[in-house]
Amino acid sequence: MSRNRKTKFAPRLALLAALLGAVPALAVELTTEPAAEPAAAAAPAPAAPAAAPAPGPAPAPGDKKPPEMSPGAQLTKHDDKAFRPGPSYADKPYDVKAQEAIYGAKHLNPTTRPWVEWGRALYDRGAYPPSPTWFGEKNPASPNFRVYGDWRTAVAYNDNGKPNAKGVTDQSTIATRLNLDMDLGLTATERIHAFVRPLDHDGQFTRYDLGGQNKGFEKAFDFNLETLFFEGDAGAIAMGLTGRENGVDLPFTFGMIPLFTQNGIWLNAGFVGGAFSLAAKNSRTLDVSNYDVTFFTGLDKVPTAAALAAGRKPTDHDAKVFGFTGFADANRGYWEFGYGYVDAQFGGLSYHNATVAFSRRYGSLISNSVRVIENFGQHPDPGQAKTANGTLVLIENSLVTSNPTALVPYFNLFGGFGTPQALARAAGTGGVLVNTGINLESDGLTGFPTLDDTARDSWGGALGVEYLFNLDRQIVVEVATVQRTKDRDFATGNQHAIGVRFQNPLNNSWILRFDAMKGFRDDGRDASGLPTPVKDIFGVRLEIRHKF
Amino acid sequence: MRVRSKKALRMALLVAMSALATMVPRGAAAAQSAPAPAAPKPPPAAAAPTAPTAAPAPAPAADPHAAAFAADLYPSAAVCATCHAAQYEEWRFSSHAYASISPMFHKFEQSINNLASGTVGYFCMRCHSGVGTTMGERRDLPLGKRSRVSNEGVTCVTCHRVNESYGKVNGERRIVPGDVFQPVYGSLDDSGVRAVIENRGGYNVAVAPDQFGLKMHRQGIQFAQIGKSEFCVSCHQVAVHPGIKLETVWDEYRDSPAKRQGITCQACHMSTSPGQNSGMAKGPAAVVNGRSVATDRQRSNHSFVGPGYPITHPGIFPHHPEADRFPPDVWLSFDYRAGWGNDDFEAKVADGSRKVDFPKEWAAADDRVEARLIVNDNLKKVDEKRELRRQLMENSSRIDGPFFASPPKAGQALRFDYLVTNLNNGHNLPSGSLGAQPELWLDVALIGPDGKNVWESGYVDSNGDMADIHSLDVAAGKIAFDDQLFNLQSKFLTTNVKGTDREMYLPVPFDGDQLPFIRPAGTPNSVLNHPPFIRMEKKSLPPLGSRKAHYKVPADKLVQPGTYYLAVSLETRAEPIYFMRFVGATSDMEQAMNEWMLRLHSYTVKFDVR
Repeated sequence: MSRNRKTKFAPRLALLAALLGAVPALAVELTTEPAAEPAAAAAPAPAAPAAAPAPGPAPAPGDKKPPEMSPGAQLTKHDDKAFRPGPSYADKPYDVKAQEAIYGAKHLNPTTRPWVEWGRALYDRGAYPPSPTWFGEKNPASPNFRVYGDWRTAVAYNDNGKPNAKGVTDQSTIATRLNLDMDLGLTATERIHAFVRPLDHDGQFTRYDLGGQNKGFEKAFDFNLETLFFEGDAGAIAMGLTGRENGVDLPFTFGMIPLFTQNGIWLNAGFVGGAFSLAAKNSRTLDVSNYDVTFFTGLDKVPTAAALAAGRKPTDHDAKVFGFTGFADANRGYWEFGYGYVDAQFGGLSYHNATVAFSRRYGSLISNSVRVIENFGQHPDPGQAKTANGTLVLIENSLVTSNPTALVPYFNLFGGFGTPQALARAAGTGGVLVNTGINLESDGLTGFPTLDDTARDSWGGALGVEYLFNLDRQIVVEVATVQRTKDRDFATGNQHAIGVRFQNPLNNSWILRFDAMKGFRDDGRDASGLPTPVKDIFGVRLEIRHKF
Repeated sequence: MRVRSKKALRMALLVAMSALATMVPRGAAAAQSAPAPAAPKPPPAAAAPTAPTAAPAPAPAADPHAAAFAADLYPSAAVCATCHAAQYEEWRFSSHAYASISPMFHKFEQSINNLASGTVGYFCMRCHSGVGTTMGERRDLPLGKRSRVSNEGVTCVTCHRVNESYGKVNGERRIVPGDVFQPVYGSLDDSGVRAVIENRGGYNVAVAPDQFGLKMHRQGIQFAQIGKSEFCVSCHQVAVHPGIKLETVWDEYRDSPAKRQGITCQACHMSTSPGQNSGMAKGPAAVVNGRSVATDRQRSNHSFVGPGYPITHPGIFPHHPEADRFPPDVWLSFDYRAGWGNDDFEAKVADGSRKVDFPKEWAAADDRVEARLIVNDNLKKVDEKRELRRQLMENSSRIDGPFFASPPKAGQALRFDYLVTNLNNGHNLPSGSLGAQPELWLDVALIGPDGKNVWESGYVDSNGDMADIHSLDVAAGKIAFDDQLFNLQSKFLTTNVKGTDREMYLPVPFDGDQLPFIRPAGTPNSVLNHPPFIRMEKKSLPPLGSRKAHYKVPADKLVQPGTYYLAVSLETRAEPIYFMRFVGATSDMEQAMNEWMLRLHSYTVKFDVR
């Protein structure tokens, strides 16, 4: 058994190594010392080169010792003219109007306020009253309550290719969704936050179905709390309680907490639990400018498909999760890492989930992230299939263009081996490939179709271009594909899609959004390899969104 | 067939709705009036138990005297300077004094408000113009329409009228209102103030409106936090909703050797030697009507030397006791770069050899000459600041090298390193306002035996930007990308519509939607470091940390044997030029930004290539 597992890991690790190796600049970065040129190394050395001293005990502040250097180098007279010249302003006379405009052309913007603002207003002017000292003099209170969010309404025609009893696969609908954030600020570091979606319930949105599979009005209301958490800093709280500065920062949270890491790929879920962070650390030994490590646990309502045993209806108590996540600014880039143990309550589906990612810009050409998620250690009960087992590799790239903030061509690749799972994903947040392409992301409202976003035994990617004009509107055009790596046991075969997105703010609070996609799908194959016919998919939608 | 026609009908409906929606006139929608800014809230009465009397609330905003009245509740530094001239002299060219004058601040502040549809509101103003914002001044007021104390940025009362212990409040501090007679707060005991008041006649001071003499505060109250690092946190560890960190000095300090050794921010930034824990100076706390008070007291330096520097018109900043005779708008029309008011210039104007169409405010030569004296005085002060900045930065860093990987040989690539070290044990290098993205990079040039520059990394483009992905010249193909650049600048990144992230000038994401709002986060971001889809990436050196800069000069640059020279310099600039352009900086701002930047630790070595 153990040998088997090792055998399975080996190719995955090899793949990871190969992927890292495929990014030459990263490989160079990981090499701490430049290799000496072979010819030079063989040549007789007129003066022995001194190795650069490894970072060790630093000199005292204000140290005026002359610089250390190779013996072959000798200090000589310095002249700044050695460097290439800087810019010249000889042809740019003093511009009075431009100078006056610095201070004289400022203006207020039409601004949408939160629906509710009680207590201290959000980023307003005016004097503050003396702070209440309910939590101690050294943790002054600034009570406020704000309600804000957005309201989305979309009309859509979607054909998901899944026939109902009458063989109809399409649906036209007008659906609406209200996202309400309620934030009770207590101090600058402590607050209670709740989030509700009153116009949807159990994955169904309040809507009017115009035709297709269904017709008529469907109401779906609830005030269930999607999240409800306390967020605070133990250092600040202790300071208030003791009346002494302590120099401690220890942010923590508990309740129904939403956690979001790696752009929502590895973890995008709310669950009942808690988390704390060793925040904003640095390391001179490892040359890490900044890093955090966050420890978390979810004790109930952990949303993961990996813990759903065959034949059972999902409940809030299917799994617990324990783990940590973090990041580090190092190697001229950004490392993200995480580990979680999913303690499944049924079916022997407990397993380990680990991830690492590195993001960096290479040369003048490319922004890149390489992400790996590894699921291992699941030993299901007899008769229960593995639900989390395998590797997901994501290679995300975007080009640096001459208009780098607004024109963004991207090319994202994925490879899924086995059944890789995110650690936890809330319902409605899509699959683990949600950040790979717009053709792999639904709309969380009308049931807009997508390609298969599970990454199960498949590879593929998305090639697209985004243009943001003057950062005031957006158009995205993308083609995407999902290719199967097995010849049987999949509901749909190879898939391709073309999609487009357009967004245009109408004023300072209303946004218009248009999406369309057409997906072409090959037939699936059942466990015995026989074809299972599927239809192509198509969706077009128009959304109006009000932010407040 | 019937199904198809139904589909067609639905599609037609969809298209019609699309068309209808797109017909909403953007202009009409945008023309909705801006919500009227909240009327300035009256500052509540001073509530400190030690404050002897409550200050009166200001009149309503409609009262034409309200502004003047409010200003009386927050005395200007010029008032304090009467007795605290030495502190004023240090403060008047400090970054604190510059905070609400800085043209980059105003350009940045307006840009981020535009990009966030106004939802960032007065967030930036709370630190940069704390008094003005407390007084209810609108953020779009030009300098000339602000109160004097508002233009003083982080002025005396911004710190010395604070009596609550704040932590990470992101600038949201209360400044205790009150006229000049109200108590002030400091780190030391009040023996000096008491000594003066007990001998009020001798010092000829007044501590109440019905008394004659020099007006002064009637009490000095010891407030312990003002002498601790925690006091600086409220503005130097700042995050904007939904948790985007813009200032992280406290983060860095809290995990530093300095913190563990009990060395405070004040110990290094208000000491006798810039950036070093060299102890505070001794001197009188005040000079009242010519008589020194508490002559042997610790006197902390109020120039708060940091790496930043002013780029505004030198008539406007540093604060100058005589500059008030010309309003800010008039100053801005004074072409100090053309030499107005200089002897040579005025002589040529007088003899007609130089024709200048002066604006009417500057038609009189006397005014120009007077203005020039102020400008020259201020430029001298900025130059003095430059020297202090140099000391600060050179006290805090060093360069070693070059360290050759192998003996340099003609016809072979030359590989070498420099080692850059952060000598500062209190925070990263660089640190400070990362929202402004301060730059620190290595410029290394190789000079051949013929004295010509044969290779360089760290060179700048025609705007002064490094040749990285933000250089306009690199984007236009005018100069080569600098693929060996050693740059310690921190960057903001936002996630693309899909996939990885990219460097953005400001931490505002546009890929999700193009109306980003600043609101409290829906996720507990203090345990996740940053909000979804936005992050800061630091490349700075940790306290006492070192990093190697690796270089490789191609073989074709070392064809000729002989003596070569390697020149190196650590370049520091307060803001990137590409960022300045993004926020609409003027050419004069760019010029000032470049001409006042510093080259640190510059030196050259020679070596033989055989």
